[in-house]
Amino acid sequence: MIEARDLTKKYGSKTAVDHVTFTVQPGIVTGFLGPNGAGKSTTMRMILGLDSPTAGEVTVNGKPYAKLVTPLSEIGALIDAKGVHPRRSARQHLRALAATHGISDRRVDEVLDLTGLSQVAKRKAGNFSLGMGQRLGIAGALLGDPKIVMFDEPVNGLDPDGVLWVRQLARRLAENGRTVFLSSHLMSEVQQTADHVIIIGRGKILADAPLQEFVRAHAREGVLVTSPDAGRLAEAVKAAGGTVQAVDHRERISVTGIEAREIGRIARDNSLWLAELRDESTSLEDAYMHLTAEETEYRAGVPTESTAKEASK
Amino acid sequence: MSAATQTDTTTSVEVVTHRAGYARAVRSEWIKARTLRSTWILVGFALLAFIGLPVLVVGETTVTDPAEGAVAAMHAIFVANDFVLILVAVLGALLTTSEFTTGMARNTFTATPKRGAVLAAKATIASLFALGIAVVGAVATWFALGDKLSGAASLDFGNAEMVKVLVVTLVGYIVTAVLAASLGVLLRSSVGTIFTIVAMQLILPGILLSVPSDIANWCGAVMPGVAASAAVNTDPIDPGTIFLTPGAGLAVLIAWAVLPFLAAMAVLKARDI
Repeated sequence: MIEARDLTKKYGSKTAVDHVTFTVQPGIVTGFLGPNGAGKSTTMRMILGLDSPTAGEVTVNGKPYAKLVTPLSEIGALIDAKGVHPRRSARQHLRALAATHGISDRRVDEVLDLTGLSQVAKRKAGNFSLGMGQRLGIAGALLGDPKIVMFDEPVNGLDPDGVLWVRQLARRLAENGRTVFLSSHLMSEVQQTADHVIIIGRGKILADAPLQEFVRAHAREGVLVTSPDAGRLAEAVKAAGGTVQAVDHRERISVTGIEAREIGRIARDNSLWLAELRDESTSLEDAYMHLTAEETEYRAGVPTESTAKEASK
Repeated sequence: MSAATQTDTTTSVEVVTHRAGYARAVRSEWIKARTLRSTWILVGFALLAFIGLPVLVVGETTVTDPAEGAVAAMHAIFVANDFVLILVAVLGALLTTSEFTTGMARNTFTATPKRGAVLAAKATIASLFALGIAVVGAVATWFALGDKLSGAASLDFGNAEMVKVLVVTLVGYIVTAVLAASLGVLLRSSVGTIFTIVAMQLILPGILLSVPSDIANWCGAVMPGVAASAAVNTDPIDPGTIFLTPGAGLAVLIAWAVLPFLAAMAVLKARDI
């Protein structure tokens, strides 16, 4: 279990993490989501005691990280796949980590096998692809058979096989009663893996809820319509009491207030061409985009001056 | 100690973990140091300079007094010190700076959260490499010089002055290793650390001791290499010149390891990794 209370990190005048309080529970997979620069990595570094909080505290299985006697058996973390010496072999890298806890070479070989790196164990880590680097980081995280695993963007650079493997590994670790905490910006990935989501934006927790509950609460109950006759269809839908929003190009509109089935009927009655008609309500991505639209720090096209003004509000 | 009893698809061997402290950090640092080719390249060059330079420059001895001869022989063995110590410093510096430049530090300090233990382990490994180079180099040089160290110029371990030169020189090796590893933590830059050490060992003493300023002369006199030669000096100090007494020289030399080490310890604990 990871517990953060009022956790705050300031770099000069910039607040990276702002009075964050959350608990990561064992037995489930918790997704940690947020736009770039939201404070995910800073929070994870504070959990590991690498960065010290400006205020507040965070404990790992009830203790501050620095007080853990055998940290690798409490929490295994992947926070930076490139954070290895490039001219040391994968196996020797893991042996050096294992030596800090007196972990056997057999376990080193086992995690290499588990992460599919046995064949390349003698190669220098600097020659690894990003995906292999991620696997090496995960191997290091699993060395001490930890009660908690914490992965920062674990599927970054992995091929489809690797993505599936990480998903299954995370599920399996959680099913065994471990605490699994992963950050990602890939919503579809989190939706398939996580049971619970914690969403952070501009250093603040925006949501902390079971995945399904979060999606239900934040996704718009909208219907996405694609039609070459979008203009006329929009008129007809408005006439029937719906609210229409243009989406990304002329043929797509988003309708709220009227169900998909009813929109289909309106289209038929007006002899309008429907190319696509689907509910928007089931996707974590929609719910997330909705929630973070206001919070995204580096929004495209927003002049820095107005961003600064918003920040000072 | 804790034994994990959970078994699932991620473990088939029982994973036993032990307290992560100084002793295991030393083992980890030893694995890290010896599994990099750069370590052995530096050791190789250090030994090459250590043995090669005396063979090239040391001539037949002209001393006739065995007491003086033993001290001169010891100095002859360590004649390449200035160069070898730079390589020892590079080795010590890389042990710490490479952690920060490669990002390995995050792995290192999550595995051993006791930052002081990690620094102490790195200083230990740096010192062991320095001592190893000094001892292997000295013995090999003694053999290589062969006849040049015979007769009145033979080593004599009953000669207190000669033993003092040996001990102070070995202390100088350890000091250089610990200083470099500590500076590496303070500067987190390989180039910066190595440049600082080269300046302190090779460049600054000559400049500081020659400019007509007492403050500069004192700064020169407390440079580690100058302090080391003061520690083994047996000649009377000219009243007009600024030079440390042997006792003060040794104290200053040791301080060059202790103070940077303590500073590095404090900074390492205070700063984010």
